[in-house]
Amino acid sequence: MSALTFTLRCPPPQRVDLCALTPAQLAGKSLAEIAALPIQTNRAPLCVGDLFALKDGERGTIVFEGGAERLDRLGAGLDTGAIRVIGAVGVEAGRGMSGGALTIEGDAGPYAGSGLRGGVLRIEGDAGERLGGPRAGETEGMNGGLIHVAGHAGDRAGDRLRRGFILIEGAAGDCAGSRMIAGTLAIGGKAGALPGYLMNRGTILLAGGCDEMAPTFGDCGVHGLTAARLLASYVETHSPNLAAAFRQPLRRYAGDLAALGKGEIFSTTT
Amino acid sequence: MPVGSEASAWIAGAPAPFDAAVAEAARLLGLSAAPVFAHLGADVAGLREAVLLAEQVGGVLDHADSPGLLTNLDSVRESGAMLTTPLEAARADLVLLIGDGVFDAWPDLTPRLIDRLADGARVVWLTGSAGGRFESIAIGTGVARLAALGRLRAEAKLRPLASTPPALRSLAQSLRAAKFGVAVWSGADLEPLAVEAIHGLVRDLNETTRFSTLPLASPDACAAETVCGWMTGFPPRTGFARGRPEHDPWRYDSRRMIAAGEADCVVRVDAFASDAHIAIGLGEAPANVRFEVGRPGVDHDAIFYDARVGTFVARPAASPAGRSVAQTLAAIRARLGGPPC
Amino acid sequence: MLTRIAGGRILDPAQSRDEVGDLWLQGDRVIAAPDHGRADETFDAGGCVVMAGAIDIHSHIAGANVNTARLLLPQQHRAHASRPAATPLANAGWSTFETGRLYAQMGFTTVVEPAISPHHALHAHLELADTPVIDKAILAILGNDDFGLGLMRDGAGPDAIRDHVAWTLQSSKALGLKVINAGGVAAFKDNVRSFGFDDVVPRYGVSSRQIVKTLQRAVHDLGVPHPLHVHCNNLGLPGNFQTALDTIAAAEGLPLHLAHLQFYGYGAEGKLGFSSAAPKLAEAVNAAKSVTIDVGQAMFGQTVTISSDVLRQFSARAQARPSKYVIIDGDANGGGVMPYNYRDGSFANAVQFVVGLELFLLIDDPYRVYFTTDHPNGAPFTAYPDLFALLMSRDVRAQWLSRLPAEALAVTTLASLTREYSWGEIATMTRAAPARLLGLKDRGHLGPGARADVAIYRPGADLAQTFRAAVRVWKDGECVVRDGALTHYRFGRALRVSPQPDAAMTRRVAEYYDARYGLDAELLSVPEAALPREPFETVACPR
Ligand SMILES: [Zn+2]
Repeated sequence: MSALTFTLRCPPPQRVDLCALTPAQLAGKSLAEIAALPIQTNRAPLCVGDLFALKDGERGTIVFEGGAERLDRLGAGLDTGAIRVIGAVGVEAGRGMSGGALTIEGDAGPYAGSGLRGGVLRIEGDAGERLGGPRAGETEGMNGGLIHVAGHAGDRAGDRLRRGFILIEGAAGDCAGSRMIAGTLAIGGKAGALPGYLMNRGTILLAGGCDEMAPTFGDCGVHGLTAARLLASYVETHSPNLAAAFRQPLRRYAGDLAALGKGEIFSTTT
Repeated sequence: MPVGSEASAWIAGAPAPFDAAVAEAARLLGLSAAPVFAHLGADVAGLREAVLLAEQVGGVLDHADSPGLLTNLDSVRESGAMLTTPLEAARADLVLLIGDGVFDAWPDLTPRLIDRLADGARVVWLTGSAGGRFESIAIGTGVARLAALGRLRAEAKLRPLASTPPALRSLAQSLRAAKFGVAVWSGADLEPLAVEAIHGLVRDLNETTRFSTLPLASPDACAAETVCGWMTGFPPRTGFARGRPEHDPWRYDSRRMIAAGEADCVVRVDAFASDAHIAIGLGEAPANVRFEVGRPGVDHDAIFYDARVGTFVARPAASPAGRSVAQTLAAIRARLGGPPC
Repeated sequence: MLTRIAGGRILDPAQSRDEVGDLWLQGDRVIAAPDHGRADETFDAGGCVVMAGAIDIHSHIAGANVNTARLLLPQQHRAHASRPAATPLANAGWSTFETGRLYAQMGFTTVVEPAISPHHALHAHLELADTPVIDKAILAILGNDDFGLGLMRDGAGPDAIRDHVAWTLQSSKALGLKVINAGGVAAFKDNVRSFGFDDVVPRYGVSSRQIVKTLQRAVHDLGVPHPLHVHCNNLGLPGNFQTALDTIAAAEGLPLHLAHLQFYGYGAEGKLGFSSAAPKLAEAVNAAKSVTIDVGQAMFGQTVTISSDVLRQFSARAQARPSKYVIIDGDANGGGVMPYNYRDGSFANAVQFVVGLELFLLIDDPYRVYFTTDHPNGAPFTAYPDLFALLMSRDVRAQWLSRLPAEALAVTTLASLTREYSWGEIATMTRAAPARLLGLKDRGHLGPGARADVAIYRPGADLAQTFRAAVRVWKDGECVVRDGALTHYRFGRALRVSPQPDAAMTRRVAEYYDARYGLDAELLSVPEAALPREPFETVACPR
């Protein structure tokens, strides 16, 4: 049986909030009930059925055919099952996910995977700023699970990361891993300036160097690090490329000495 | 404020009776799917009516100076802060100014703070590039400033770094030696992570001495933050489209919304402009409806935020004239059937 | 408009009335049963309890520090329901409008915000003016301000202190005076990080005891009905019951109110060095007839502490959950805001919960113990209904205690206490007593001439639900709550005393503000005309 499918009929006339469209929340609902769910974020009423053509199918998996930058909070709160988007999404894709799998075959806007607690968020295009980061007033960003970005990520990817893995195959913007509390952030391409700015603990891998290293990281020399090899085996299934980087001889920097200073940045030496 | 029989309201650029302009404003807001209050320059009574009207029409509340305001607030609400008041700051024995914009944010900084410090108090200015009026250290802006502030914080934790400029290391020692230090900056001027770094530095310093901060933002943005705070629970960049206040600094950024075509009616309230006005239009300009309004504390009694004391003060009008923002917005809300409040 | 509330159990301890009967309201007043009365409106209160509107003497509901807490914690108060058409912003989480609605729905009609810095009084009154239905008041804070401590240091006599207190109350439009960690916050500015009742403030040379005694006398001499409202030193620390005992002893027969005594009910016994000293405190309160206290009960759950005891908030900063805090190290007392989570699995939190209940149950006179959670410091005021149930039912208490760590119960006596508050004692503690404490002659009772603030409850098996949703509430004779829901807004007034300021003191204060701040002292006063509607009601000072 194929998946429950939402096919975008037209460019969204307004930003829409799709957080209600997860397998758990749609279980037991008829197609008509789903079509009638409100998704508007301004005063013009808009229902799922106004924006998407629905095709029923296996409810544990949801497919969105067609994306748009105005599709916000897609997969937010996902706890079980899978969502696949063939196209782009807006802000807060997968925010607060605790399980399941969200795959975006396109670009994601800012705050993708914000506050992720579990599950896997895979972005095949680029991710906007503050990947996995907290929103207003939150003291923690991502707190478990895994985010994998095939393309590039914007500024401050992994802001306040506390637990889990963020794997970025491409480049990252400035201040990747800013204010990290713990967890692992790996960047395949080049990172911008000051990775790990104000990080307390945690691990950042720079497989393609960075624009500028913060002066508050101490160079601890080149090592073959056991810890890095353990991380390699963990990320292997998601990213052979980053796993290979973790296995190389790595230069280790300790910091951020402006903050707690118990974090580390591994940088490939070639 | 012009006197006499001159018009105080306009529809599509033509003078109109006040009631007709109110009716047209109500019609536009009533039709709008996404009304956005892009600027909230008003006294407390005017802000109060703006919040009520925004709730009535399911609109978005923003302020032109939200970026600076939120740069300051975000660090406070994500990490916490030591804060002080303008009156207490004048008791400091060390004032650390950060960023070139600090005097723009508070033109009275010199008479209200610097000149009131006790003899022997020290002022150090971490500028972007220029040499300052005071003992100053140029640390650059952007990434360079972040790097320098990180360095300063590490040095103040007694973690000496290779290649720290002597002036910065010496400053770190002075910060530790201060009996009451105060860091002052403008949120509009600094990178969000720079503010985060400063608050972290100040937290660290408080392990051994007294040190606080005085983050600056435009006074009418501070007023909007406070009034929206008690009325809705949230600062600006709060929307009511779904019948309850929702705070989202990214989605309800009025500049972004207007640029992205997400706003279909824009309200700008600016009672502190030289041509104090409210403009309501479908798009940037020209306004479809415009009201001339009185200047708070000049044309009508008003309560507004006073940077000298960091709170609200009342000022009676010298010679009352014209309609206030509050009266104008209340008339529009009444026209839309809003209940008394 | 003549309203008859028919056939309810009228519970009015101030008039020693507890009987089934009718209550008549005309305009904004309670009246005696008219001879030929035909009511315009009759409410059948059969099976219900009819009481005066409740009065909360200590709840942090407005002002700069409360608003800082709102802004600090956007994730904790999201609105979950759309607004009802007739009451704008009433469902906006933690708005002033929601505060007024929730209080009214519980049958509270007067609430005192107990900690306002005189420099921020206008801000507080603006928020209170936006708090619908209830009447309200502020207490102004002194005792850590440079001018007042300067007077004491320079040996200014009691007349000067009294005049300064009068000036402050008048300028800030307050109902009474509060002192918070007297001298401790001033000492904090000189890097002092612990401060007891007999410690001396650097630069000023006066002890906390002297400050409390001096201000207590000034308030008394002015004839302000509400005695000095004291937040003692050493809040929250193990062994701090001694500080409270010392403060109680220092009352020396003059009226003195001790706020949130629960936070001072801690011994240092037991293997964890933290225990209940509530029995000792209750004994002292029972003996000191001029002393009143409110409890500041702690209840379990997420909350935020908001206090002008900057020294204490700073010292406790590591306990913030989530881990962030704001310390406003500002003029005079400043403020500290710190989110906190009381967990029933925590030994210390369980002891705090128990200490509060012990104080309620061991202090004999319901006229001298007041019902507070120190909102939101011990718990949000929305926890009141559960607290009423805990006081009125041993069974409810037993259920709660069964969830607590055994070690916590081992250092307290609560399990052995069998007292259950009667409806009459509840009415005394929340109506008659606070009206007397605050000098509000026309509130807290249902005699003829009383303000027509009336709350009606339908007692049920679930006592908490009974108190959460009043059946009807009248404010100033207008029915505003039906079946637990606010129907529309009306706005109450702020109660204040209005002592005559002394001309010489006014001049002296003006000179001080000019020299120290380069400002007109009037700039920081609350002008009556600046506030909307009819903002204030004056409470008489009998002296
Ligand atoms: Zn309190």
